[in-house]
Amino acid sequence: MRAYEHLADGDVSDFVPFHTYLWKIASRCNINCSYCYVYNSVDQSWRDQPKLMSRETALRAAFRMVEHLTAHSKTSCNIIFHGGEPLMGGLRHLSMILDVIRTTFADTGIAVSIGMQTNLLLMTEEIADFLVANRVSIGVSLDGPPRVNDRNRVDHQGRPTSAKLEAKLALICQPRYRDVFGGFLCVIDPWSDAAEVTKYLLSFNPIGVDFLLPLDNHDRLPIDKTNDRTSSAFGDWLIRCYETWISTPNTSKVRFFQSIINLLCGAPSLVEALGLNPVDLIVIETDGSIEGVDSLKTTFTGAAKLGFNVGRDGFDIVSRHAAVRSRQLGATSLAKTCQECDLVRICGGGYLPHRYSSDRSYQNPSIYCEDLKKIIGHIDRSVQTAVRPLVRKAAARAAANGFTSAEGMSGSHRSIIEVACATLSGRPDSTVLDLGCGSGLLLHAIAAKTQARPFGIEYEKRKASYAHRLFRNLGGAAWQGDIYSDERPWLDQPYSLVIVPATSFIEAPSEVSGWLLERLMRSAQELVIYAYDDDRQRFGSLETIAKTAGFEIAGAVVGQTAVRARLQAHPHVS
Amino acid sequence: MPPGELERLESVDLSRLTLGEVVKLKNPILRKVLIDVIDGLAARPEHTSHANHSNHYKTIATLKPDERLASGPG
Repeated sequence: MRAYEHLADGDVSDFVPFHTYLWKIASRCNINCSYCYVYNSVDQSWRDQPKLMSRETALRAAFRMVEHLTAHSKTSCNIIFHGGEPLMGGLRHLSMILDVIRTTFADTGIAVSIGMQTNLLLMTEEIADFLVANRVSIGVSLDGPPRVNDRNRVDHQGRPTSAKLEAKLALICQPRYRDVFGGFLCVIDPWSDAAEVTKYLLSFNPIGVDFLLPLDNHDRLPIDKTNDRTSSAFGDWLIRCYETWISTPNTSKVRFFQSIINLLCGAPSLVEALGLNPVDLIVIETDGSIEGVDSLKTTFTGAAKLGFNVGRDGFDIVSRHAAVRSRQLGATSLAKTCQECDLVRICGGGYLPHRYSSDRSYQNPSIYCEDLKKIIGHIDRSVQTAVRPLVRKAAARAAANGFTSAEGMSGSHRSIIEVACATLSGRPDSTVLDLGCGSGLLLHAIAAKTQARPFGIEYEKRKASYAHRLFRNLGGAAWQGDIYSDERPWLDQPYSLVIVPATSFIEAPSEVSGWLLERLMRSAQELVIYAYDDDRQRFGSLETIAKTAGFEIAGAVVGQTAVRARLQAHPHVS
Repeated sequence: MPPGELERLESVDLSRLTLGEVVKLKNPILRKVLIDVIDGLAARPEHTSHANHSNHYKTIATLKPDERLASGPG
């Protein structure tokens, strides 16, 4: 079966422009890892590649990127230097490549984030300083403590590499280089101690860690499945790894696990090996040829080749190739078994190279299907167990606040968000004050949608503290205090919008609410008032509450809950 | 009742979790991850739109210090 015969070239209606570009700036490596998909696998095309990417190829690649990104109105992209080992050309080569990128992208309005995946063994202080100066971050390939790492990651003479690597890690973990050290890529050895490996990697305090399943498939079975195809040792390993990660104090992201949690929550995956999000990553080989997935070299000779080169082809042409489209079509490009599986939105059918067999091409479930089922099921149960009591409490709390459910509360918030966003529409650089902001969730959502700077005041200390953390990240602030007497929110500025619980002016004595009214008249350019279910049960409709509280309705009431309003002349305001 | 049925009946729709719920999680790692997820969705409500798709496949090599797990309260 041909690799993509179930798909036809041409239809790019759902095409997602490429965002991440893997540049193979060197095609040779200073070490010889036993599992390497470039040198120790089926496809040996590296032998035909130039050792280093030339200036001309780099120029053409950068030009093609600008052409593609500009045509699709993209304002940012990632470039990852890859290999081989990208440091094989030394500082001079790296400097030339960066110079080409900087020159080509100058004045294009496209922000380029540059990273490099390296084995670190050729790192020097001079190169590290250069990376800091040029804001190039690095990911380091490391499989665990020396006795695990040295099983596969050896030099060309078969000697271990860990001792030298640890010395380089000591260099790159110095405070002055911390900003460029992104984290680790770790290929899983199912016979290693998952807890030991995880703790070792986390001990370097990386920003991120990712665990990779070896690039095996249905023809070339993973190490645990050669004697027993039903084995799921990788799934068991990942479960132990996950449990270690969530029970060890750390701030490191583990993308594989975080992607599963993201997907369980309806958010996108962070890695192309999971989920059904369209893949927007493309590979440029050292000679300028363009590949969809370089790791397909583990399947058959020529599997990664698309037949394009930056010297003559633009990325829009590449996007029409069935091999590229198949990674952007979601479940429709998967085997029938996968399409009918409940977990497909999480596993996405698994990583493309893992699906391969010579008789059915990529129309198989992943060779790690049982492993993926295990780890996904485990993480689902773990998160469910943790959140279930909280969701019940939230429902109870919502009921205590007069809502029939937590979703009812959320629905009321939606009405306020809708009115607030409409009010702020077309107002750049706006500021919003929420009187009685609680934990700040409502205003945070408004600020996220409108780019407004959020400010709030809340009487309960813990809620105010949490709101402040949320707002601070968006250039705002929250104060713990009394809305009827605290001057701090009113000291510096008029607000584009103030969100007001309308009953505040019914429940408080007039001499107290008058103080607040004065400040609203002075500092609020727009007002949104709201009343929840329980308010309306006590005082009548929002219109009635508004009238009683001294507001004039200035728009359509949304969800019976929120409306744009103006202040009427008020007897308590001098 | 078949095995796992009770668990299924009691399962929470994780796509409807709110920040107010997850900030109370006792496990600090899960709390931070879920805050990140919900913050991410709030900041990118159009996340399912292809037109706005970007950066989801950021590799380890391009992670920046501010992309550590966000700190939550507690």
